[in-house]
Amino acid sequence: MRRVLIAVAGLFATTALLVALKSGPGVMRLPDQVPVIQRVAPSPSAEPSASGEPGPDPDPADPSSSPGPGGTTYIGDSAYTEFGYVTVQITVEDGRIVDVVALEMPADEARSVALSARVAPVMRERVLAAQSADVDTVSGATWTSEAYRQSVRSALVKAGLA
Amino acid sequence: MSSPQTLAPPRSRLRRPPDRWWRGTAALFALLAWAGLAVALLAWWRDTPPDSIDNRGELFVHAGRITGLVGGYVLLVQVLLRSRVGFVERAVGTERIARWHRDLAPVLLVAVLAHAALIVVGYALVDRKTLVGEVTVLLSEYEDMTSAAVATGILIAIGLLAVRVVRAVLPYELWKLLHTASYLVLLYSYGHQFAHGQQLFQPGFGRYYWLFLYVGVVGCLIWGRVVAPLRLNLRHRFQVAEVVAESPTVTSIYLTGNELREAALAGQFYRWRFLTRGLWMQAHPFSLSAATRPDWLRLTVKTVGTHTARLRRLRPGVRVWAQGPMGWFTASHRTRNRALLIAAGIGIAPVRALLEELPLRTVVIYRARTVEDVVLREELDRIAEERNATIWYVLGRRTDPAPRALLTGAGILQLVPDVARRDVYVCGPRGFVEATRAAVRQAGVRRRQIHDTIFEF
Repeated sequence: MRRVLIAVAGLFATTALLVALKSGPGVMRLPDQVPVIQRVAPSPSAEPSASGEPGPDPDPADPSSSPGPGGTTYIGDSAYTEFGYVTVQITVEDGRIVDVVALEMPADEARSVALSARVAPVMRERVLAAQSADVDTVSGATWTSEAYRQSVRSALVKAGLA
Repeated sequence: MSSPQTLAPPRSRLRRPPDRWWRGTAALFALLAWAGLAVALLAWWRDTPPDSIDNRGELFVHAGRITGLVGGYVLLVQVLLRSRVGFVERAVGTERIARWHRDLAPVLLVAVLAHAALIVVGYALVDRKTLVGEVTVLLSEYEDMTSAAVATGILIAIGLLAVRVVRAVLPYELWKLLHTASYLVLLYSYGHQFAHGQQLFQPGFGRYYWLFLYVGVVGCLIWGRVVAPLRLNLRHRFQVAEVVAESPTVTSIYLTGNELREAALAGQFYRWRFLTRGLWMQAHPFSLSAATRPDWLRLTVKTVGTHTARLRRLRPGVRVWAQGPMGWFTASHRTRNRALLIAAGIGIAPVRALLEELPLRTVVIYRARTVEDVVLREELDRIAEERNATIWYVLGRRTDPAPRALLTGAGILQLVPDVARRDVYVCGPRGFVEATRAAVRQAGVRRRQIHDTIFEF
């Protein structure tokens, strides 16, 4: 019995110690107090000039938009969630959204992979149907859906549709 | 063939020097098990950058991952310990296996419950959900999570069944059958580990290591529980030859078969399953009560319940399925060239067998309640004469002076003045064995000179 108690105490002590060793400052704050971090490194979407001047004609030099045979694509800003970044690309043809592709979805945790796989197709359908970023979130995945909407919204701004 | 006619030293094994290889193997096994746990936690350590835990939600989630890794690992160790695979049985020893398995069980339960609770709280904090909401999402949206919950439920149920009070109420066979459900824990829990384990879900060190552990443990399980017993029984083909009443409550069963000489060392036991109506459902450990002979071996059993009572009515020709041989209670495990054997009650069975293989001038102390309870006396006296051994019969109730003196260091020294220079083999009920160990230690015998087998009914 004593050995069992020692083992259980050891389990808790080891867990606490390991977690403490990997903890950064402010570890006791709640997750919703975590500041939203802007992505610093340039990503395919991080060009600020695109969202600066909304206009009917996108700047051809803007790397976040590129005309193609099936329409012009616009890459939205990356939006951050607890699990990682969401970056969405839309394709616009004749003022209509004809395609939505998630270029980047959270994937650094097992559960975020599953979540992303569930959210992306649903949100794609909803955005295509509504032709807008104002769509319902996917139940059980509020934050990932919200980030998806944000990225679509910024892509729409770049396309001059918002 | 009803009783051994020749009791001359049966083989050259007698002159073999004591084996020493086994010493410390249990410690080595434990060391490897700890190292394996450290490697599992190392996978977490590598995957978690410094300072990356920066809020309360993450704190809980990571604590949940650590306890999850520990729980998953301990589960595998539990299964390995019970796999009956030869190297574990030999390295750790049957009794130590039982003790470790019992001691690890509550640790496993606590680790798994802590894992579930920490993950739910952590995810709820990160997702900004209520606990109930988070549990609902986990169970409905996550692959394999319902089976993981079932596995946890089974684990809790088994934990409750193992509580001493409950266990005492249930019939042994039913309890054993229910305990077999623990394999379902392994079956139902591995899915969520590989699908959602942060260290396991994607290819990499953690996943490969975990796969290696699973393949290894399941392989040992199949080997120890299926392949090895099949091979053993196909080789020996044990069969009941004769049943002899040694006393009103003690029965000897003679078995025949093939290559019996190699079947066991004296002092070892098998788990025997008699393949006949009313008996085939249960396997029980019974020691051999004589060194193996080319054409027969013998077990001697005390009647303590319905199963052992039915053994008396066994017919010759009944096939016997055996698992073993097991046990460290053998002549090759001794460290000195002299020995003292101490038996209580039916504990005389393996001691009687060992006496044939231990050096000359061995001393036997045989503790029995009354003279009627003494069994195998004729053969004991005959072997003693042939092998120049001394046998002390210590009779009486536990409270009588002689039996009481036997459980003191002074009492042992009085009977066997040179006890400190002997290996001491003790066999009997738990209380007797523990008290005797203490007495023998008092008399100056070192721990590693003591070998014991506990008979529990």
